[in-house]
Amino acid sequence: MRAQVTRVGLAVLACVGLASGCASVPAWERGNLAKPQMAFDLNPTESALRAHAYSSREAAASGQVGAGGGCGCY
Amino acid sequence: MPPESRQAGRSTLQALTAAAIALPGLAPVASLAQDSAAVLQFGRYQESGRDLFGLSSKYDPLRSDSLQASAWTAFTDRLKGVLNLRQDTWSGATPIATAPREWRGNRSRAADGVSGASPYIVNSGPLYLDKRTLNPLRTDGFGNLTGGEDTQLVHTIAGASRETRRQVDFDLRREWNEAALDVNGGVSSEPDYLSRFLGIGGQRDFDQKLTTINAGLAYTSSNISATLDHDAVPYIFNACGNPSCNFVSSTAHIANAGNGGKVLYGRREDWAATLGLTQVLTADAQVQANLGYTHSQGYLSNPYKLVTVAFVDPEQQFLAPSPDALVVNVGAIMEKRPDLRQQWLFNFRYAQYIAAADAGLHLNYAYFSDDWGIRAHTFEVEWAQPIGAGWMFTPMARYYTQTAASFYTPYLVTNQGQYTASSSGAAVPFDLSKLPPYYSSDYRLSAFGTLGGGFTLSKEFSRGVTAYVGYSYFEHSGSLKWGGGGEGPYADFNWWLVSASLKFDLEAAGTAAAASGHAVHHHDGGADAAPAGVMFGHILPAAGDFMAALRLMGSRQAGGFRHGARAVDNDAVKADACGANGCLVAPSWMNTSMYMVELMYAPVDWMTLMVMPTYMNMSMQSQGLLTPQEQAALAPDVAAMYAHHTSHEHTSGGIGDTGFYALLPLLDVGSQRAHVSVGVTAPTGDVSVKLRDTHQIDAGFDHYGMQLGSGTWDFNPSITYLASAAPWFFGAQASGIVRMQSRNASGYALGNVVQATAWAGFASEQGFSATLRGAYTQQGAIRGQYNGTYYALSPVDYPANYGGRFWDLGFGASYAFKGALAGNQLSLEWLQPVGDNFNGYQLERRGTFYASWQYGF
Repeated sequence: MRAQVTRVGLAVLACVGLASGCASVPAWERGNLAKPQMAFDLNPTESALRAHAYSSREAAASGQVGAGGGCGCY
Repeated sequence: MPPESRQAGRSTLQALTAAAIALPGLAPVASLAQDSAAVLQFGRYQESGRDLFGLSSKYDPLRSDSLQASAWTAFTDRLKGVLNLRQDTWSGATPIATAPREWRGNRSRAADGVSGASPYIVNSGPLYLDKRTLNPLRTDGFGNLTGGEDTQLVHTIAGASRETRRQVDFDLRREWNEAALDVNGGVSSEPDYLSRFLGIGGQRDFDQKLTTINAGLAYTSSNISATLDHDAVPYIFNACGNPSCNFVSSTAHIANAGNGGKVLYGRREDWAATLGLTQVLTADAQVQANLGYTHSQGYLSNPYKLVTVAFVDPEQQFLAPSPDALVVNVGAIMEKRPDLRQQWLFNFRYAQYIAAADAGLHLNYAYFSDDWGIRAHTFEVEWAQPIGAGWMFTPMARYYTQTAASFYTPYLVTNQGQYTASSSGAAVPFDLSKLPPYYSSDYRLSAFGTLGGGFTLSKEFSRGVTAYVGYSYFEHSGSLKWGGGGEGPYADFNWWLVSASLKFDLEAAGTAAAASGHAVHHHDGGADAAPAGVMFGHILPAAGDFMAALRLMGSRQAGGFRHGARAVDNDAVKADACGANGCLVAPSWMNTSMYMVELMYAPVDWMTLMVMPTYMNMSMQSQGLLTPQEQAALAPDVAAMYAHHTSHEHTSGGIGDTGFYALLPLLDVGSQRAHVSVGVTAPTGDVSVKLRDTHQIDAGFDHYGMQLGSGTWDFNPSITYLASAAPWFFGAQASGIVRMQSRNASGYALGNVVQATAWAGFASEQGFSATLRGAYTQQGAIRGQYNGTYYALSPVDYPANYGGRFWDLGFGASYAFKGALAGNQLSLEWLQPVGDNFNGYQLERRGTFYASWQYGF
């Protein structure tokens, strides 16, 4: 378990390291990032529905904090 | 109630705001054009059946319909809120256990042997294992070895009545220049599971929002009260004699429900924490990484899942047919998972802008690990492609693989008898301590993979409305597990998900109306609109106009019974309402609610088209009419149904019928207008809603009133007259429903309906209006009757006890929004019954409530 945690933690740190190396992108150059096709959650209601199906059929959690309750025991 | 579905009803607010949070460098929520918006979504999940190896289950595979409504608004520049309402209704078959095929867990209960397989968990004849391999030996089904082993496993499939889960949750968000704070919470309720949750989250931007860090903490408390399968209770309990020896959890106990049933009461608590980072990499790429930890404690098992156990009783081995065989008895016990689970999730998302295609490429990976021994990987790729004119096409593919939980097992073998005789001769149940500490046969804890994909297609209309449709399809298979070694093909299935949703920018309604020069009230979206309970009350004035409305209707029947117009007591109902058979039970109340989405579009000036999907909810409580002596004399199956009906509330729900209409103007002279509508409703609502099998009998169809649609193609004409003399306005309408088929697929047709209604209203300058309405409705009785098994115990099971002639008085109020929300209108109406003349015997009507929200654009 501990090994898993360490591994995941290292991955996050690596990401931060990677990111800080990516220097500055001024706000006025971020037009592409602001486009709807670049949103991390492209269609929130659809992905919520899919996440509900995944999590009722697979053991892995969807990883949302403030996650809702409920069983949907089917 | 598997823990893995614990995270299911994730806060949609988070999802809705995620897009904004994910845009470092731009003011997060301000970048959402709509400060006030609403989303409505229908979804359907459909699963395939499992391979039962030569048998066909009598149950339909599992299906779930869901409905979600979300609305968000900005209270101030810095304070935003979201409210989400969600409900899921599901029915169909689900695996409750796994066993070797030789144990014949799915058999027909019907004497004809062809009515479809039903679950049996206890065996009927002797079964054998090979002494060395412990694999099942092949028999002819009558206890005779036919040579060789049969290692094929198969799920034991059981059906379930419709159940509904409802959830309401909120999120409040306070923003600063470089930070935001979220508080969220909610409640999820279903008959056997109540969950309350509360969370707090924060985010902080650094480096001109090149970097955003977010963290969150959430707490969930859940109470479980699961009525155990009546058919399962005997072997769950008889295996031991008291609850404690089969079932051990410090956080749950099993109690008698008073009607011979058993209820499991449990409790669990979940704490979840996340830490996340979003980073802009280049002008065209960004990444997001999240680490999540969930600590769950309490009753984490699924009270409906069983594990089959082969008892190898040393005292019985003289019965073995050969020296190489062991003779076994098969029993089943409730699954048992640890009371503690710790889960870790690492999530990585990468988004790359592809300039050549103006597209977004998304690569997502997640790693999951828990202390139950499950490791999972998820790979997902999405391509978001704008295709012009507001269209966006987003195909996706996903692969998921997991290892099994350490305590997962298809079945158990134990070297002891199910019972042994004590010195006093009493039967002593087996020793639970000889079994492993934890065991579950839930396929979700097995090793498998899931591979599939889908797409969403969206269209943003120019007036603040976006429509989405989504489809996805997945194969769940042991052979798809990464690296092999997954569960056998008996557990394979596939599923698909379809959805349709609409998003409304509430502030765009007024803007669009103003921009297009349409006076808002000219849509009848103004203060002089028809009351909320009147359908087809207006047409759109000009080609190209859109209107959307969400309508809610809720009605209640309760109190005493009526025969025609006359009140009758329960004795009369018992004696006369069910023909010569007499009634055994009668409803004490019934609630029906219906949600309707009304979408209107005028392709030309002289015609308005309308599509109306619907969603139904019903619930009913019945009371028993028999004396204890009469109950004692009932046949066993009827006694079982009697207990089934009177023990608890029954619910039904899901997608209802869908209407397609055309509205045509007849008259538009000065202050007088008239129009007609013609249309059909398609029988998209299920009319084969059945009760869960109970007490080893096939319970058959639920009551007629619990079916979700008419089941027939129906013709719906109406004619409407409107007049105004400010501040007064008037209207009258005649409408009908004609069933165009004499029988639906279940063997009956609802009666035709004729309605006449007229109203008068007063509209104030401020946008408020009030209406008074009279309505007369006549509906015929049901024709035909169910063409399959059903137990006609209640007045509501007799076709003659439907329809009648009804007089109602309606009191309505309406408000047409001004300012930023102009173009939106909220209407409410209460319809009070003032005269009833029922066909046959029916429960008194208490009234109908209508609410409608209209959005003209």
